[in-house]
Amino acid sequence: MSIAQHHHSSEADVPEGLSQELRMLVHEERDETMMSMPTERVMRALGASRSWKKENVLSLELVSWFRPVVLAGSFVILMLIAYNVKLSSTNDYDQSPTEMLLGLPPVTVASAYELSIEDH
Amino acid sequence: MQLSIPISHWLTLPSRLLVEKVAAPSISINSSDEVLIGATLGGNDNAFRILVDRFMDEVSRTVTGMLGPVAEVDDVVQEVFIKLHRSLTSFRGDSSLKTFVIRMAINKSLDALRKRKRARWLQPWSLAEDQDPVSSANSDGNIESVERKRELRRAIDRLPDNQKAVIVLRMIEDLSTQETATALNLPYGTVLSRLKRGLDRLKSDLESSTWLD
Repeated sequence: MSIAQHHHSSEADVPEGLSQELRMLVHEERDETMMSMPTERVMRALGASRSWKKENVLSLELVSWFRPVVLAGSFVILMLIAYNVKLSSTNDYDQSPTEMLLGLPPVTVASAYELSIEDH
Repeated sequence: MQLSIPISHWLTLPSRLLVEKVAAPSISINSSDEVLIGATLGGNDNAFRILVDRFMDEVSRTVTGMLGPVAEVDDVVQEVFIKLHRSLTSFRGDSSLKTFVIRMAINKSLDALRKRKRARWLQPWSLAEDQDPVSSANSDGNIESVERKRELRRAIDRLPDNQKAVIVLRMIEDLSTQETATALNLPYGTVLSRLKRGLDRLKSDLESSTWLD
């Protein structure tokens, strides 16, 4: 046994018998499970993944462009929600914050159904 | 308007391309990993085919060792090589290509094991318990040998994933402790302790000293 071999086997006291059994087991299992011509199948799968990328290059590019838009939009929406909540908590009037911002007169259920007969 | 590139440059382009093509290193099964990586990055599919052939044994053994004899081994092996193709640009040569590929095989196998565990949670109890890949595999050996293999596979499957990875690389792939540490990106001492704990567990599970030296 060479020095290198001795160092290798004594490195962590790996039992050689068990190693052999494990290697034989995995060899048999692999031969049972792997289909034939694995290299060809890998090359075909690689070709398929490339063509998928080519076909979807536009959609992938669009997604990458819209990512910052989605982030900025989400941020604006969150800010608006926070502003709305803050305004609602300090608002003692009957108006909603949206109505206040837009300068609309207050609309209640009663006023919405109030018919003015005199106009007709 | 003045052309910045002389016309002679364009006129001699086909011949220059031909010379460059001839001057490029020829690819054969004996070419080094570096040459094959360079050629693959240059768009040479044959070079990558040679790399796949070169590492198919290591990858398929590692994945089978981790997952056992199941149909998903084929898919995981394919995923490893597709990922290798995409990652070759980031390969800096700090470790050997073999170590780089084996690390990918281990990571993909660990992903598959995590998926399997999640799927097991969703399955009815009886179905999850009935699964025994070794019993369903074809075995032409005698009953004793089949039973021995089954026990060995069960013992491997019972190991925690981190110990299993060390056992597979160290005992099945026959990597040195240092190579295993590099492949798993772990300190040397951690590999030794996981190997010891894994071996102790394997021994106690097998409950038979006749297996061991």
